[in-house]
Amino acid sequence: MNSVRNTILERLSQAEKTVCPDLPGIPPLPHLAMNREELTETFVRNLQEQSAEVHRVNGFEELRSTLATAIKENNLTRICVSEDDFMKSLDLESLSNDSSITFSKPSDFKDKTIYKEMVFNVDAGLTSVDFAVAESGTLIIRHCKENARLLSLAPLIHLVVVRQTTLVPVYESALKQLLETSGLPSQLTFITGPSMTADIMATPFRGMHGPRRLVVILLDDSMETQHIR
Amino acid sequence: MDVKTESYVAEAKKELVNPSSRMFLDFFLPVLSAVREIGLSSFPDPQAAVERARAIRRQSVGRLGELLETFERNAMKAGAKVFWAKTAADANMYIRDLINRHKIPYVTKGKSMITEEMGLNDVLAKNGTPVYETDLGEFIIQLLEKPPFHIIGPAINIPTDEICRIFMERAGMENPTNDPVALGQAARDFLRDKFKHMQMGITGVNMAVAETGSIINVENEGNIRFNKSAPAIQVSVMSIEKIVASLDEALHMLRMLCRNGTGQKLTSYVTVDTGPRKTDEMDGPEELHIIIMDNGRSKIYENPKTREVLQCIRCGACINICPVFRQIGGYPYGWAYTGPIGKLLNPLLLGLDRTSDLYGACTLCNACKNVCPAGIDHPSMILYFRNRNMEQDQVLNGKGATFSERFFANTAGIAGSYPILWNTATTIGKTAVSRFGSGHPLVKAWTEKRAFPPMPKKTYRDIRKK
Amino acid sequence: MKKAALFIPCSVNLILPGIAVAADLVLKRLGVTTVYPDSQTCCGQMVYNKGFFDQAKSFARHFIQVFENFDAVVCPSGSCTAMVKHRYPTLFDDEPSMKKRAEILSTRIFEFSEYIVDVLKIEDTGAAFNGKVAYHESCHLNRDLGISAQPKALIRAAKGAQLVHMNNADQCCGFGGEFSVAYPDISNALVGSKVKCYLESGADILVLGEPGCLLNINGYLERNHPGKRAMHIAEFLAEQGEHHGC
Repeated sequence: MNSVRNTILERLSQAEKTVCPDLPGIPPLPHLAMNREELTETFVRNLQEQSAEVHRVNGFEELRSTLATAIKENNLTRICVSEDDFMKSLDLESLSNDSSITFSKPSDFKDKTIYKEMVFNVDAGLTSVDFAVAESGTLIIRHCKENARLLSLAPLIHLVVVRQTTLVPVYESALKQLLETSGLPSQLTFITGPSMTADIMATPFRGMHGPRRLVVILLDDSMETQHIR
Repeated sequence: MDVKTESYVAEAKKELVNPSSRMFLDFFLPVLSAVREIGLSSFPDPQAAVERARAIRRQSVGRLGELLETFERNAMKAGAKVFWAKTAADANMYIRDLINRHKIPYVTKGKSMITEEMGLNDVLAKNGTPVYETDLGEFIIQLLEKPPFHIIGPAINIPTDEICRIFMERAGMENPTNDPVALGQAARDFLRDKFKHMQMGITGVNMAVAETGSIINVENEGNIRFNKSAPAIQVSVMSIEKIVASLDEALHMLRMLCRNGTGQKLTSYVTVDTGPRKTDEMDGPEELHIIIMDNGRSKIYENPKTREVLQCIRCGACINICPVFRQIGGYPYGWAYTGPIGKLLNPLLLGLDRTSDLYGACTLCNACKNVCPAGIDHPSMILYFRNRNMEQDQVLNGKGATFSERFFANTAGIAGSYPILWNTATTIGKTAVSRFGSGHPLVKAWTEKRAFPPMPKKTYRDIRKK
Repeated sequence: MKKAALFIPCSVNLILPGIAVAADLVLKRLGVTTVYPDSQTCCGQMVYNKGFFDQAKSFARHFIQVFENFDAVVCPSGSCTAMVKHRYPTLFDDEPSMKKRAEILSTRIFEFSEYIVDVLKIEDTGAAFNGKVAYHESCHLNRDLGISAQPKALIRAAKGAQLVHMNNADQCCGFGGEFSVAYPDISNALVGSKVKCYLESGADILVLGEPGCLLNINGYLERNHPGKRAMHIAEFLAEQGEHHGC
């Protein structure tokens, strides 16, 4: 196998060199010059254009009540939640005042097979995101122990809480921050709307494999850290 | 995948009058081209964005060997296994052996043209391993045993009653329906079951990033995410050219790929994988196998005139704008790649002799070259193929000119240098065509549907002389 | 006093000489002295497109020798102009001195409408046409040479002419030289589609700058929509009377 590798690389390196001009620059995307409110409006508009629902809330109380409403409206009884510090701080258990709503976490299940079985059968996944990107209304999730992959994929409904302080103008801003802090995870997922297809007679169908509905709750947490770029 | 490139003319004839194909070709393709323009207009300077993308791909291919080495090193550092396959057969064998070693009962696949090129499904079928395509369009054509109609909508032209029939026969659907949404739901239910228990998922790669050893996939459905995250083993196949140097370059190419393909700023899901899952993660593959496949591409690379084809990012912009494709759809191209890029790749991978209609049936209108974000000059390469074919190029498997073709070309070449010869020859030719031409197949090809003006007695040269 | 050598494509010389007569008339009207180099033969495009590059070189050698001493060479065809301007230099990649001569010639060759607007700096040629005009953007003219604004400016400046929108104006009409008879089914479908757009535009006449497209489109019109026709831009501009397109 090594000889295949070496043969290929040798052929490539010995071939006649082509002249490769420098990369021409392009004008910066307008989002880089936007203030926080413009970025937020652009983010919301882009996400809505991709058929996601967006609710803007101020403070934890409004966040919790909006979540409660979303859960009730969608008749959700079993919800699997990501386990990052922010989600933990939401005190979700108290939202299930009647025992009909069950919140579970992936780590509740010591056996990964049982976790997988469970996540395929819950009504909704509830996660935070690491970044929200204004240029296209994109959510970026850094998958890790605390933010499992299937949570935002297997259930029919994906509920997302986005802190406004994680909003950045363009993808590069997010990647830069990511590389400066935790580095690249095993998987980084960009989500821009629900799962979609139009493969049958060009008729749109949502929820082909992933979530049918993407419900985003955008929390204005600007009272805390100020860090857009 | 069966090679049917020699049935081009016959298939094209059928498709020109096929009502379900016509509906989509006449409506769907102009829409895709239009939304592409709208998508690109979200750049402050769309043309500058295109030029940057072209330069990125030119550089990526220019530095291909070096980038591949860097990619391999970084991918392995992140824990991925990297396998270099010289041919499609090598790649297929690797996957088959992996399946047998781990006793994998079945595999699921994301939409991947490279695996179509490899004929992977047939190899696995012979091995007794069921393969489930999970992209809705690919799933449908797999069941119907049809080739893809279009790069983005492989089954978009298929009538719903045909889909209903096959779903009831082979996808466990119980109640008949012609509703595309209900059919989609039926496919979802059938494939979800496969996702729940799968042990190996196979994907292609839209882009590999050398500086981080990452692979990137774009999709709207979520099936590729499942193929990556539900099983214990993930196999992702890339041909050698699918690589860029840095994350920054990858991000720009992602913007271009999505806008050029479907007009979206970004598809619903983009996943960037760097190694398999970490040991403390709840889900994700324990093993990530990246197959880097050559299958004739280092040979393409060695020729600076054909190397440019490796810049392609498979966005589909050329396919959607091509006037010939808009009339005939994907079937006549007869193999994994269709449209203008198919006119370049199929001949290079299969031989000029088997694919002469592909690069022959082109008006050289330049629409493809105009829209290509990867900087490929399709018309120049098509002309190069025609020349190499006539000259019986040994490397590219040119067929050579027929006796009469060469005779006419040589005669014309001589006459073209001597005005007296030229004028005599064209006068004779004019008379011959107007007096005796009506029976000749080439003349009939014109006059069947079009009138031809009567040959004027005086040429302009005659008129000018007086 | 401007002088221009006329490069007349074979299709015009042999089949549609009226286009050359009209082009010459218009140029004279604009004060240009035209010269017709009698020893010209053909640019070799057909042979080149078939893949016979060596034979195309024979045509090119002769062509360059015939035309290279003129300051301006004017041609009423986009594809032929593009052949000389863009393909000739690449044909001689392996012959530096011929390549240089080809490159010099490519700075002196102009398509007909390009010459009038960009060199003579004229848009109002004194043409007149009472009615709606649609314009077909021939592929080589539009994409290979980047000529699109010029013919449209000339049409707009014609007295009484109204340039109307036509759908898919820049989509190929399906001629493509040998393509039209080697792949007739596809070619017919393409010209049918082009004609459909023309008819839908409501224009009284379709104007274009490529003799090949003209043969193709008029051929289809005559068989399927007699009474509607297309016209070369040279013929269109030559009209000065109260001519109404049919």
